[in-house]
Amino acid sequence: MNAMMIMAMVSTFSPLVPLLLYYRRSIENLEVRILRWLLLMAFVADLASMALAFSRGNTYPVTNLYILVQALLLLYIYKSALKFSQKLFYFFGLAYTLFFIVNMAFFQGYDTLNTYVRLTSSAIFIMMSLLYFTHLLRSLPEFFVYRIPMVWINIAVLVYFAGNLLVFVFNDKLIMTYTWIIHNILNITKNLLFTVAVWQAQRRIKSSSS
Amino acid sequence: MASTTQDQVVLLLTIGTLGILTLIGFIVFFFFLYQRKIFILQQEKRRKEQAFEREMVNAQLESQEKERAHIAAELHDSVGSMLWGAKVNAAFIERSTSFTGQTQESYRELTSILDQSIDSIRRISRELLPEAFHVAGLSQSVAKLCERFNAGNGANVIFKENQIQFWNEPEALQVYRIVQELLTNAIRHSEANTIEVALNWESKLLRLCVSDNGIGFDPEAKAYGVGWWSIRQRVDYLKAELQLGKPAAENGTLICITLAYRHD
Repeated sequence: MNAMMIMAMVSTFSPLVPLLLYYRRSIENLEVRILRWLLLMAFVADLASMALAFSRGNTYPVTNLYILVQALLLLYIYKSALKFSQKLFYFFGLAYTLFFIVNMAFFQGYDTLNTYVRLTSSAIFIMMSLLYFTHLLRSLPEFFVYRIPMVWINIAVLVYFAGNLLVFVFNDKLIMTYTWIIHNILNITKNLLFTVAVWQAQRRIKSSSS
Repeated sequence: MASTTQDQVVLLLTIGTLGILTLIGFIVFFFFLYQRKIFILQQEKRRKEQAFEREMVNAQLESQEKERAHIAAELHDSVGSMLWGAKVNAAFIERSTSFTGQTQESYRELTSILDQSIDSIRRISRELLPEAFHVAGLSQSVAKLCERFNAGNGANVIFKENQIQFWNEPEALQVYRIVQELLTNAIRHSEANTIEVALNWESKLLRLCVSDNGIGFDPEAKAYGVGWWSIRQRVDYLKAELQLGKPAAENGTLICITLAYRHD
């Protein structure tokens, strides 16, 4: 097993670390509760991709579908954090889904990596992330903001999408190995930051109950 | 040639990604730093606003007391004296002239009105500035207040005190005003037939409790608006703790105020 393989394995199983933390206490925080579904979906999608890769099948249909699910779940997380209206959430969700279907049907197909959709989601979530920081600066909910789980989710989203921006742009077959190494490193980082978010949510429950 | 291009792209990708990640690092770092700064500034602003508000309330209460004392003195010394003068003159007229029939009746009515007016002036002055509050102190003044409420309001007002203490600081006067307001509220709104005022003196704390066996109390109700607002202002001024509840044995209202007291 070479280093890249090990990294791919670590990346695939990294969502299990925050997922395991959920079983310590039941979490009330809505954003962290939605995050559990995102982590579960990420794990399932990566596991399916890995199985397909071992059997020399095409992994892109699974990856593409995961991009859509990830975008919709993250949109729901930001809807809750930024207090979007339900209508705005439906509008963005439907527009994104429509764009995903049109791109798959007429432009990039289901069996190649849908880079347009990826780039769009990167742009959207980088903006959302910066919006959330501004929202925090306006609302000033508490002095130690690092205790807010959503802050860590937000940092994870910013690191993952902004870090992968060039990876999605230079998604050339010649440097595929290299881009996947960067992607995997960022994916592991993202899941570690999600772990901090779940841990902070647990700490809040502990401190409020004691 | 292809390898050179590939290497260049990889280099570009690495530098670009590292650059973006560094930028994110800075954004997050400055966010944490700036957020704390703003938070501290906001807290400071809020603290100053609260201090200003407290100062305003204190000034308002002090000027209210001064105004009350002034009105009480004016009523007692000026109107009261004039009424006494009128009464003395009326007595002189009675001695020098003999009244008969309707004139006698009118004269009696006149002296009765003068007596009632003198009593009213004395009562109002006493309520505005409790009779010799600084000499009598809180306990005696509250005891007298309860006696007065007991006399003519239909409800039985009981005063209890765990030990005799003398306290006549400006804060004590504010406690007296709170008792006055609570008793007035209880008489007006509670429909109670027994009201109890208790002063519990501990080493450095005073616990004042006013309870009744009436219909209970909704602090949000409009009927309590101004009176209740004034109680809260005084509680804030005294930096006291206010508790609302029901007496243990029956229905009604129990209001307790705990504050630190000091003698100079």
